Amino acid sequence: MNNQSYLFREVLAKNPVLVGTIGLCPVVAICTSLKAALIMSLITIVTLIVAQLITSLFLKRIKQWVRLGLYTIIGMLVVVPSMILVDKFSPDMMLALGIYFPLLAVNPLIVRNCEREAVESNIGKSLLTSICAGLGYSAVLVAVGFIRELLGAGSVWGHKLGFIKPAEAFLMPLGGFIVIAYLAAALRVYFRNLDPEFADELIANSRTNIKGSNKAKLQLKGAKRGAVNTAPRRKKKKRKAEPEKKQTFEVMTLEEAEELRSGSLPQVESTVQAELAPSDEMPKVSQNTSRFEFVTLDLGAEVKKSGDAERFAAAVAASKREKPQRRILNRQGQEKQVKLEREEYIEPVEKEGEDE
Amino acid sequence: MKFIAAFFAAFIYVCFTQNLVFTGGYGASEAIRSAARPKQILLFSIMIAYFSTLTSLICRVVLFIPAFKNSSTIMSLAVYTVVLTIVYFVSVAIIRTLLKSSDWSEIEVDKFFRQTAVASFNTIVLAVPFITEKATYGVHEAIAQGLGAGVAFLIAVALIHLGMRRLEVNSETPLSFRGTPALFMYIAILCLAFTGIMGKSLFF
Repeated sequence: MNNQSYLFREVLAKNPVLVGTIGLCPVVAICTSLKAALIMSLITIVTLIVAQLITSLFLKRIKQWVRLGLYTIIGMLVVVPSMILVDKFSPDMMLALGIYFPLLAVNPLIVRNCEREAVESNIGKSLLTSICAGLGYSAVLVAVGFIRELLGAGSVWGHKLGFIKPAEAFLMPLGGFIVIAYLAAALRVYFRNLDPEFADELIANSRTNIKGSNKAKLQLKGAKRGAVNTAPRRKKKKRKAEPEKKQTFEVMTLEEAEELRSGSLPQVESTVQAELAPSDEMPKVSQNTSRFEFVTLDLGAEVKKSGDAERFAAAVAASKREKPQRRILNRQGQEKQVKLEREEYIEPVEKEGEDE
Repeated sequence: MKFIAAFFAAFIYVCFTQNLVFTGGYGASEAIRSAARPKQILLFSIMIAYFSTLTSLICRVVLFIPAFKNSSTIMSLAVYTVVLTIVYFVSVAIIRTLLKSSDWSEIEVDKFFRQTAVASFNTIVLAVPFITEKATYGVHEAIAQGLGAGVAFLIAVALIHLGMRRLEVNSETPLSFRGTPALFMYIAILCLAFTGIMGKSLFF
């Protein structure tokens, strides 16, 4: 999304209706024709611009609780002349809009934009954001108005189209919700084609997610895996992919291990090092394979082997699978060596605090 | 008895038969916002009920004044908006005085007043006096209308919240419909259910 224009981001990615779920009442209730949608769009844009300019110029220093009360008065001061104009030039439209028309004065879009943008920024930026938000809102209004008029009344701009049988439900709020649901989904598809990560982010940070819940993010992961399980999943910590590298095993005899334990052998000289590729089944050692005390993985944990070749192989294989993180046997750590002595072999132990 | 019957008839009508959120779309965005914040649902609904009842009552009383009787929608808008704003400022002033003795922090107080403003200035609250005027309700019915709006909002938010919870864990929802689009669809189904009560012919 970095390369996209400012206008694109403000109008589509921050769309008040389809992304922000703000100002739904006018969209689902009165936006039943293209003409009504255009009138509403115009009034919304004018109201937004006026409200944001007034806020930016005069209301910045006023306390927030006072400011919040004044937005409605500003909205009313814009809507009243608009109503007079519409009543004069299109009385039918005035009747059609009914009591929804005056409700534009309390459009939550005004409050949100004024509080988020106008209070924080200068006049220029405030004007720009108000135009962008107004355009985003208007785009949805016009699209919804067109679709609902087409499907609900079987007409476009008042002209009847004979081939469409009108479904009255589209002229009701339920039809409005259906149309904006499809428009929001279409926007998602568009974002997914453009930038899948951004589309995922949009779902994860959706305003309709229950606050404090991470389920939406998990649900998204589930969808990526193609899962159909409806049960909530436990969050797993992401593990960084291990680079393809060979593991080195240090193998020593029983006598050498005894000396190491007693502390008389600071460094095991006769240790056999065996390189193990990730695809190998078990370490390939060149000598003293009959009885080994310890097998030390360079990456972390050790396994102990006492005589049994099969168990030795199983232990090494298990340690390979689990990619152990913690070193159990430390050459300087006497206590840990004693602990190893008591057990036949040690399963690799994961780091404390790591999930699953 | 007649008054009580009229009161409950208006109340039930607003809450269930013609739920303002689902059949009129009033306060739909606030309902979605509240449903996403389950801890605040009750408080927000009480605020809505408080503001809608008080505004509806005062506006109904104002309509008894001859100058405002049979006024146009434009005049009504001006009057109702002013009444609503006064109700808001007076309520906030009272609450501020009460909160002075409490141990609330400045941030908590600001958050509370933001919520109060959202609850007072929304379409569902401002729509109630208009509906009261159009339906030529009396004072008692205006009160019922205001209280009913709060309960209707609570019912709507509770239903939306239940849907949200189920939609969040449903990984069978198509990827493009995850989140907001699926929720809109769910609300459309609820609208359909409530519109069905009105007995309207919906499709063809």
